[in-house]
Amino acid sequence: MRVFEQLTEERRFATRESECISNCNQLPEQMEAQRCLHILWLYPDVLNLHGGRGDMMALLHVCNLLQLPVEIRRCDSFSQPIPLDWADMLCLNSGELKCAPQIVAALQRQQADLQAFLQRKAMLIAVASSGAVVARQTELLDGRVLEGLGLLDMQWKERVSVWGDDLWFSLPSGLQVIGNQIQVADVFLADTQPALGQILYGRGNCGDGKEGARRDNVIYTNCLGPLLVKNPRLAEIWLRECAAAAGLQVPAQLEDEWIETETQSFALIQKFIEGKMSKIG
Amino acid sequence: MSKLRFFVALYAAKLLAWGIRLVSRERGTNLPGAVALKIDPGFIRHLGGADPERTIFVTGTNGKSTTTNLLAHVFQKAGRTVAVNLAGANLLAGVAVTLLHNAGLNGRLKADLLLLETDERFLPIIHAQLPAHHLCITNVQKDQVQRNGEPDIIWRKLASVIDSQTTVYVNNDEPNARSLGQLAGRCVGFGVDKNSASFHKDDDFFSVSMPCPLCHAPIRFHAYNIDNIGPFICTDCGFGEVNDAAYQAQDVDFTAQTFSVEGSAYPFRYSTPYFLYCYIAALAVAREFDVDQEVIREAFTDFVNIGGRMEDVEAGGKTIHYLRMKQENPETLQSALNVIAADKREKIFLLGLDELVDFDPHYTNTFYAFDCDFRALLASNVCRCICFSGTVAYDAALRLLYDGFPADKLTVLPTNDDETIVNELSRYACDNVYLITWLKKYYSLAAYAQKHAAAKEA
Repeated sequence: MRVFEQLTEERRFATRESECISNCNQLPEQMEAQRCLHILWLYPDVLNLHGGRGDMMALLHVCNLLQLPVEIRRCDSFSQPIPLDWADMLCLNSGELKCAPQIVAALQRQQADLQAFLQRKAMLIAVASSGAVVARQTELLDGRVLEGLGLLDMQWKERVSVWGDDLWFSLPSGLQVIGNQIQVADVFLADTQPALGQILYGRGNCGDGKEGARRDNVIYTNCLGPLLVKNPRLAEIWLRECAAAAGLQVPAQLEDEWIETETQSFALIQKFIEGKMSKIG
Repeated sequence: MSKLRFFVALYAAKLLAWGIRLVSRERGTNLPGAVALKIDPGFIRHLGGADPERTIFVTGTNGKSTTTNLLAHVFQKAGRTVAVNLAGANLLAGVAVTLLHNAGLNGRLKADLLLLETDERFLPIIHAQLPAHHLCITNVQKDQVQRNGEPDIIWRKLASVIDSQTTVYVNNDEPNARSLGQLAGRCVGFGVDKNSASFHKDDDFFSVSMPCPLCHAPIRFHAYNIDNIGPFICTDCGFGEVNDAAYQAQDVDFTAQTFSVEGSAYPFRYSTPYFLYCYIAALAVAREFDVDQEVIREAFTDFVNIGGRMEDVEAGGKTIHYLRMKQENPETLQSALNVIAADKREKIFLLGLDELVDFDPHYTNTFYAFDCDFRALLASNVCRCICFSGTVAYDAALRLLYDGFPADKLTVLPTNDDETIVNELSRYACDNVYLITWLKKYYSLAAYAQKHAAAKEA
């Protein structure tokens, strides 16, 4: 259960009105060697569901473990310019589907910045309903169609009833990820659109065995948990990819003993899921 | 033919309800209604004497039951006969049971008022049969996400029954509920002034509020009376800027258990911010139905709520304070955490989050705990935290670790076994214990703890 102390200390000095939170004061040696990783947290008050803010805490925590200097900055207002030229990682947590059009519009106003962001292999992560922002279109129950940015070739269709369950999937690398899903819309990938992972248990996109989507560094997942709290190895992989794209070194490896509680959590929930699977047969 | 079907439904259901009551007075809150609706799907619509102008629905995500019970008590004190579903049976069948209990053999309702707690998801279905003109909305918040998904899904269901004939009584301090007032023919707002229990979240970089229900821009709360409830303003369109609440609780004193409205003082024995909103909601509706202030005062004085929200149990020299939370509901969890944090004495904190067993598939959601802030609680002289659950004990522990609780004061028990939990609890001398878990687990754990303590004494 090591090393939450540093996170606590950093939180003590970063208020809601702060421009950012960072571990740079805690990692002065690394700071001398390189700049810090820049993570942009887009519209935290609007994309406020399902404990998604925990993912931002997890990113800071895992950066601490990796001794990777990081700065997380909030972008709170639709009228505020989005500092895409600054960001190495852009996080869209889960929010209400109704908010997607404003977010799409805000990003479209900076279309050139967004293209430059993607061209330098910076990472965009959209979780749960925020996937509507990066999808092609979302068809709502009332017949309206929301246009997305089309960064991922997927169509969304709002569900008549919500689907909530556990979710367990594997990435192409073999890493297994566990969490939950609260799905308000079914997700249909185009044939040429790769999924993020393969389902081991759960519904995923639309019950077709696929979970999420990924093209280059644009990532969509249904997985909540918070995802990165429960899956620190996934946080490590994504942080390493971002750091590499930004030309930054990651000084440390994530040691097993540092994530013992997360590992025990995974094992206990895996057992619970396997119990459900054995009943289904 | 339809009349015959209605009377067959009425008599069959009444007979069944009578039979069930012979066995137990607590049972039969749904089955007779389900039978009546099976025989006559329009059973509620076909009852005579249901006047929409004398029908009040109490709905929202939190506080429905307490507000309904309190309001029923006020009306009864005022000498009105009220048909009310006090047992919390708030779906279509439960409403049907309430109505058939209050209907004569001629199929006509005998009550002055119909006061019905209605499940927010089933409101459109119930309203289609019983179009109430009075709708009290406590709040529309994150709740039971496996069913409700996101607050907007509930908002849309509530909006679908509001029209120019509707009078809504809305929580002015909760943006989603308040915005529904704009759809109604008449809106009566209620709210609570900033008070000694109000809090801010400005000290936390990771704090989040919510989107404006009108323009979707961020809402900024000037203070929180409960999580995501308090005086607010939309940072873009200005929604919420003017407080036009007709009934505003002022001079709130949690120690003296009093508040005032326009200079008149009222008692509230359940003196927490959560309950205060139930009191002011009940007061608003009662006053609009011409109940005298003095009667309301008397009713508030001797109101006893249904059990299970906050209870104390003595076991082995320890007092276990139980605080109930709703499943997947961060606001009720945060309210419970705030109550514990207010007690600065040394304490043990027992946290029993568990897998959700509402309906299939059962699942292991604990992410709503990350919508809450545990830091004030953890800084309030907690000498030991014990997280127990056969599925999510480690996830609960992670939540505490993320808010800075020292690992060496944390016990994780990956089990629901009462004996294991009580044995762990008995290792520590501290006699002040707070427990947050589901009601069923509380009953089981409290019973075992008392039995264990009695056996030890013997």
